[in-house]
Amino acid sequence: MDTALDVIGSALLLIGCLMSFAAGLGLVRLPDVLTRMHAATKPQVLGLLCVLLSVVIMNRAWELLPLAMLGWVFMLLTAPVNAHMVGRASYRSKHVKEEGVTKDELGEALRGETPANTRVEKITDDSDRQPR
Amino acid sequence: MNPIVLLLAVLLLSGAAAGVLYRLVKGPALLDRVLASDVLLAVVAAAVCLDMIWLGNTDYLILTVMISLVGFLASVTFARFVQTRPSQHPDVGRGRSEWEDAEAPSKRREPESGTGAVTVVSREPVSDPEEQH
Repeated sequence: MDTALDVIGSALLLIGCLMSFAAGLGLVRLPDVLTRMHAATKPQVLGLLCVLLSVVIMNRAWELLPLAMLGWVFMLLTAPVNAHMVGRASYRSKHVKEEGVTKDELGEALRGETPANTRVEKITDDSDRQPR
Repeated sequence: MNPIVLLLAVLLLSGAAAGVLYRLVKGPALLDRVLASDVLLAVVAAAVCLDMIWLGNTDYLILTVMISLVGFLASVTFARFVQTRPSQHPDVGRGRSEWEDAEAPSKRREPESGTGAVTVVSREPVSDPEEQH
């Protein structure tokens, strides 16, 4: 039982470290901000989960499992917001390379070229600014 | 813990930190550095966990919780900071943004009436309330 737990914990630790390594490799190799963001989330979510579980298993500290999961849940809640903000800022400040984008729906919407089956919606600035 | 596992984990984390630091130094844009510093924080959290496993204590577990929270604050702040200015770097900056649309309003399609077709009247980027927050 002890050996089995050690093997599981070591495997989880190695998976977590492998995720970090993949992120480092991805940050070096990938071409622009959006693709690097794809690599960057690996150690933040899955890597952190594996490493925290490994800490709990290797130290047999089962009472600390809720604390470890709390840290992971915080990361799970903040990583999407973070990715949204960085991706949005990268698009708005023109960091996105145009040739890397296969479908640019935000650009189409900003230029007013919406897909054919979108509903008509008349938006005026007054209705947005002053709630009635 | 098996020392071979420790060695492997340390090597992997060192490789990760090296790649992240390369991106942190090289850039090219500020957002790349923000992203790299975020990943570096995750690598540091993993290293703290590795230290806890090797020494057999759990004293720093709360530190990983703090790291996940502080890293979020840092990168969101930087994203807000970057958002207001376009990229100055020649390699990037070929993406489209609302500033180009503001300069060339003729590209925007006029609303067609009576055809039942579908048009979205674009709002002016400056006065878009979603841009304000």
